[in-house]
Amino acid sequence: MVVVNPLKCTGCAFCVPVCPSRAITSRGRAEIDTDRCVACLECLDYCPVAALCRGKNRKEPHE
Amino acid sequence: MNDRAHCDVLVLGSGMGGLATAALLARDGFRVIVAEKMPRIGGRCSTMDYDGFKCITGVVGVETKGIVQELFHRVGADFDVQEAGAPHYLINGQICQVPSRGGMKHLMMAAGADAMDVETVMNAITGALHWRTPSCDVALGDWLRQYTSNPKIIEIFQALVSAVLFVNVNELSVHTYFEFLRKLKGIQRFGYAPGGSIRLAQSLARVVLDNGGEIWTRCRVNAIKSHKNIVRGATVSRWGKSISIKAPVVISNVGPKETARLAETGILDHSYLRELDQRMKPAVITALQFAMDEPLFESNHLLVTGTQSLNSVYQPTMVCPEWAPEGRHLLVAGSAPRNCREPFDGNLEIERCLADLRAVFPDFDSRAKLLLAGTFQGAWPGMHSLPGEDMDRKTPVINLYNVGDGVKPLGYTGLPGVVATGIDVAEEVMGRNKILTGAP
Repeated sequence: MVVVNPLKCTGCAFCVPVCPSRAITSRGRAEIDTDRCVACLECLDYCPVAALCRGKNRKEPHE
Repeated sequence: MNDRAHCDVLVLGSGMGGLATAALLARDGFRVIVAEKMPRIGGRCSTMDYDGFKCITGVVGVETKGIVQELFHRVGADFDVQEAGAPHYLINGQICQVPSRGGMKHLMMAAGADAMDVETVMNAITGALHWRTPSCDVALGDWLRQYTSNPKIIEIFQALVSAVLFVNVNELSVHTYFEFLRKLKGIQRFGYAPGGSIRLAQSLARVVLDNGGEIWTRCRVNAIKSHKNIVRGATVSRWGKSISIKAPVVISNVGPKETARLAETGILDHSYLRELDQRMKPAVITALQFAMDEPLFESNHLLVTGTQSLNSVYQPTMVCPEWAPEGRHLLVAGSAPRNCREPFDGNLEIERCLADLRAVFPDFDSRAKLLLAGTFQGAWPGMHSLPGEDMDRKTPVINLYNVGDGVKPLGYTGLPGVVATGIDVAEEVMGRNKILTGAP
């Protein structure tokens, strides 16, 4: 799954529309719904400040 | 071993400043590579598709008949922007249309200012525009308060500078404000790109590609390389590979602070780094985007006065229905905090903007559904510097330039400001190249 670095996230919400699982919400800072995140990692490429990174494996897309 | 590439000009970032300079230089025969970290180009002049809505990444309206359109003509790019007409103002709960002449006087009268007050302020503005520009040391708000004590007059100026210059009347120097009126005429004409703002970026990118240039997306810059204080290129990561790009000129569109970090600040002039630290205070913007079944009001753009943070509301679908699924509308609300230099609380700013929208539009919650709430601040700000606080486009490293909103010329803002930096740097590079190669 993906985790947000709260010190880096600026709240631009660019990650919200690109998430195919609708796992991200943002109100001043992005938050990931860990039950929905399938760790496709698409959001990482759209974050302008590298605030998103791959966290500990909780759910992998190909499991 | 690293993969290698080389070009005449390496542009870091595909924002409109980077693409403007890339298009001009590619047209002039330079081999250009643009490195963009995201999968999509345009930076804050781009479009995100969300539930069929063309959501903005920053730029909503685009100035027409100005420097942006001139650039597109110069490089032969398609400037497809639908004119939106003059903005309307919301004053005392009433929507006022601004006439093409005498707009400011009309607005002040609409605010209920008495005729004497209006005349005094208008005389002061005329003097400042046509005789002597007031001092840099005085804030616009303090300057206005010399001529009027009517808070509604101050509020009109507040709405305009907050929406267009992303700063407040008490933070903007009156000198910079009048330079803005002189250079951009207060941005009187604007419009929307029918396919979304990304179409403008794509149009310039097409010029780069058609002239032998390359645009590399998903390409992250790791470091800008220099030797003996002359730039040599950059190392980037793409598809998991590290690539060393050799280039005699590097033009950075990633913001002056990030450019300095990538250029390894240790080698940069200390006075430059100190100046960067002191001047680069980012302009903070909040943009809320809503889906609606019906428009909230009858025009496409409102500048809002008398609110705590909301300054403008756009309904681009009134002009470009393509920005929403058929029969629906997109609403974009822009706000800026009343103090740009205070620590920013994104959630609080969003709540303030929502409270303003509810106060201004009855039944707002039942008519508009929030799609996206974006705050632009810190390392990804509305603009990298407040107007009048910009850095030089040249860096201490020879042939390493900055373009974009952190180095805009005095009096410029937003997209026109960014494009002006791209033109300036491209012309500088062309001029220097002629000297070096002896070309006529």
